Amino acid sequence: MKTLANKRLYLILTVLVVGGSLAALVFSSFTGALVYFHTPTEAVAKQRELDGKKIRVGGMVQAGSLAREAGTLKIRFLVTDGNAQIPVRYDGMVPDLFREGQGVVVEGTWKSGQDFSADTILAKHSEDYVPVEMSEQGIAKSKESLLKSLK
Amino acid sequence: MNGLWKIVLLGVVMAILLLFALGLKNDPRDIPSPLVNRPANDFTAPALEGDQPVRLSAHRGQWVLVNFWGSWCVSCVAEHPYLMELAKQTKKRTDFVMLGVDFRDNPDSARAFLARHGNPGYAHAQDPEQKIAIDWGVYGAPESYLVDPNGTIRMKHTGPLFPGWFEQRALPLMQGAVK
Amino acid sequence: MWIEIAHFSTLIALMLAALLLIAPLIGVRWQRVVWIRVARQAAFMICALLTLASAGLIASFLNHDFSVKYVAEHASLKLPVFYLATAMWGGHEGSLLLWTWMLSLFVAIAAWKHWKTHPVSMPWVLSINGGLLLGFLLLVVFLSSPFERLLSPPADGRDLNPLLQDPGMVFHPPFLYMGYVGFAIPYAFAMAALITSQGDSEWILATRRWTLFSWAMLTIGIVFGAYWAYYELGWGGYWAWDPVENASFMPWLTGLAFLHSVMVQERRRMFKTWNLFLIITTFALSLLGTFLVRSGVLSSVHAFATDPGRGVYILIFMSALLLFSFGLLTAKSDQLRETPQLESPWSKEFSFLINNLFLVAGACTVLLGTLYPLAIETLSTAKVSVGAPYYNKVFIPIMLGMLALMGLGPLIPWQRASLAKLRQEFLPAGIIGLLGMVVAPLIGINHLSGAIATGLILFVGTTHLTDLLRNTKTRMSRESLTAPGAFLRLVTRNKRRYGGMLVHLGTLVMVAGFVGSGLFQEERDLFLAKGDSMRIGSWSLTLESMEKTARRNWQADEAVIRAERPGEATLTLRPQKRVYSENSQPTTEAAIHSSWREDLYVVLGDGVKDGVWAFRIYRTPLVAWIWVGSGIMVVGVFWAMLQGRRLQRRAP
Repeated sequence: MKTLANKRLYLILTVLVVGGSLAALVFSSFTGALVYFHTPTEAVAKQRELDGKKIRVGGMVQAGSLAREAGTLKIRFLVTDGNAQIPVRYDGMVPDLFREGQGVVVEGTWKSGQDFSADTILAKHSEDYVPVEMSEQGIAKSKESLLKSLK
Repeated sequence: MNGLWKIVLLGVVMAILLLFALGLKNDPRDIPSPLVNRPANDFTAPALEGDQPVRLSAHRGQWVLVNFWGSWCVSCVAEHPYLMELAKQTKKRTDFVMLGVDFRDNPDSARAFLARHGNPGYAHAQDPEQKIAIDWGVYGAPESYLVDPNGTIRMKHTGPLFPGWFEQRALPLMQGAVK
Repeated sequence: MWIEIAHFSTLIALMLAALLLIAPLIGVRWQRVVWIRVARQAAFMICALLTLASAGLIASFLNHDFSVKYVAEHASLKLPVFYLATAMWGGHEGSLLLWTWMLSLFVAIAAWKHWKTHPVSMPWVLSINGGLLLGFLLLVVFLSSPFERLLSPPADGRDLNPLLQDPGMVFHPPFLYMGYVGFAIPYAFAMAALITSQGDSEWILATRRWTLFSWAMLTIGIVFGAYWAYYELGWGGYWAWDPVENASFMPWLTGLAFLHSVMVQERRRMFKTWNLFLIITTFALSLLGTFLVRSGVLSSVHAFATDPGRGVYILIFMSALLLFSFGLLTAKSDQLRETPQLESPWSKEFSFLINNLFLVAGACTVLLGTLYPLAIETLSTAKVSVGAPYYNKVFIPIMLGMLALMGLGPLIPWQRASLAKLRQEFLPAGIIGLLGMVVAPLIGINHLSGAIATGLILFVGTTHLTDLLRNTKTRMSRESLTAPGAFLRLVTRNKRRYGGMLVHLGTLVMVAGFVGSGLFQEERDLFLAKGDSMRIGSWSLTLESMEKTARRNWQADEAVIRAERPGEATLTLRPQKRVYSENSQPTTEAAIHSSWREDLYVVLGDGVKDGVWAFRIYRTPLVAWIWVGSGIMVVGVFWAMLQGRRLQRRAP
């Protein structure tokens, strides 16, 4: 009987160890994986607190602020909510719906004294709520300003 | 199954349901606007129809629903029937007025939009350079703002207004302010 | 005209669903079989009526009947016929009708197939499904009706969302729904077993094929979704841990756990409560998957319209269902006797237990990641998102653990294995696996989890193939057959076991695809003008020209790119940037060259100035293996489904 009890204990211990390590894995990965969303106003207000943390900032690409470094895909623009502005840097191709004057969410880190460095740009579009797009003239105008910045 | 597991199981199920119940009130599209409860930026802009410019501050003393839209915006088509109905329904109210801001658009397409989908009859400001929209922190279209008689933004609604919005959302605010 | 027929037949179906809910209860209460017969006929009629309703809605699409609001919102005159017919599920209302129609079809099949074999469960199965149908039909008829008319019909409709105009997206929802809905039948049988206090194995045998079918459909649906994301969204990946994707992944995981753990109940009469819990959870998660997307509790790329009234109704429906099911489970579970105990950690049942732990941990991970942001948003004003790194961090170890178990599980005997036997069985495979792990970094897999995965793939492959080989040989000598004959006899005799093994082999192919595409993707962003070249991997790409093209409902800028690789024929890739006419959103059409080794994936960006365009180019190894592997998995599941109940008679 003793061996049977021992075996039960052995089994339960194995289950507990496996289950426990899985739970530990899930929860330890969870902390630190959360990315908070802020408006530019909030981000500016809490800049010290957010320093170096991965965050998302949502706002609008300020019209006329988009500048491209000549010959590369590096861009710099201002994200605004009409109240505060954050300078953002990004290197790479932007999504289809990314335009000046359009809603955007950028994900990345903001170190104090530097530009917000974005790893990802999300241009939101859902079925029933259309983010601001550009009219023909708008597109022409932003191209003009791009060309100016390239010169 | 022993008692502890039963409690845990039912507890988790109830917690998830409760979360959904509370979560239903949140609109996932709502991005909190820092402009709520701040004075609205005044604007004066040429009207879409007629020569009389549209000025927000001309409506001090009234509640103003400012609706941002454009003829390029698909959801604005969905919202349009309600705007028509709301305009008709509130025509006789002296304390409530509606204004449209047609932004990022060219006036001809906007007028074509109204001709095709119906004209609710209130004034629309032209904002082709979206100066007003940026001042107001508009992320997309349609978006609507409710401005109180003192010129303060009291509420922002992201996405199309839904039938019953006026009674459910706007009236309580308007009546609360009177008391 | 068609839409009235559709509307009217849905209304009748609604009334019949109420009858389907109540009649069997009367029949059981007063011992009147006739009432149960009535319910069975009602189930058939609901199916016929909803088939008519769906056909009516599709007919309205084909006739361009823009006086129907749903048609006007999701179609246009320019929409090609194929998308016109499938636009039926392009929106919230139509998808719900499709869901309900499928449910009615499955209920009718269940009422037909199980009528004679399961007389005790049948009234309850009918009644529970009647409740489900009623719940869904109320939603379809009153809260999100696809039959609504417009007073002044527009001349042309608003067109289907361009993102949905793709074959991948056309087939993704129906398969996903078939998977979701299919779990309703095993769920109803499980509840019937609880109610009638026959929690033994009968319900599991009855529903084995249903569960296999649903799980296979869910697999196809998920893979179609991933395929669609890969081909259509133009970001070079296929899985973003988007809430909608997660919602379909959770029932897939718990369904998989269920498929494994029922075998323990069949053979050893254990895990009875656990299996009931798993099937209820799987169905609940399926409903969650349907509603999470539809209620607007969560938003994401393909989330549909939101409406508070609908949300409240769905919440009430879900609460009733969950509280009823789990309440019944807790109340009745004490009657289920789990006679035998686990005897040894070296036994098949124990490996299934660990397998279930892994899968349920996976499901909890996804649930936590999906619901936590909702909880934060609800309880505070902060908005938060849980990124892909979290899921990857958790799922890589879970996947590796599952792989290791997959190598052990099928070959370990039930009850207890002797260590000597195990050593003999697993030593060669183990050595091959370890060698694989050591050699992997030398051949370029310079990544810890990649190397471990390679070793484990070899380990599992070896155990499965040696098992096949050995059993074929036994049959060859025992029944004096040729090798192919013996092999054929082997895999047709025990379709369930070898179907399962085929699923495992498919999984290995998929995992190879995950390792290749997840760890070794190369990405390049750059500008190209006409005549410019660039290199990626061993490819050399040259922009030949920029062209403009147009189809019926879109216009596009198209880049013509010549791709060359030493020793291979030259390719031409044509990535596009499309603008659909009813809808000014631009969408990208990536140009993809797919081969067994790697995919070349070119996305056209914006034109910066005359003739200079931005491009994003990916080289992704082994992506195609994912699609092929999933195909093998599905074939395996169908093979296992062919197995009748013959095997069970041998069980004690």
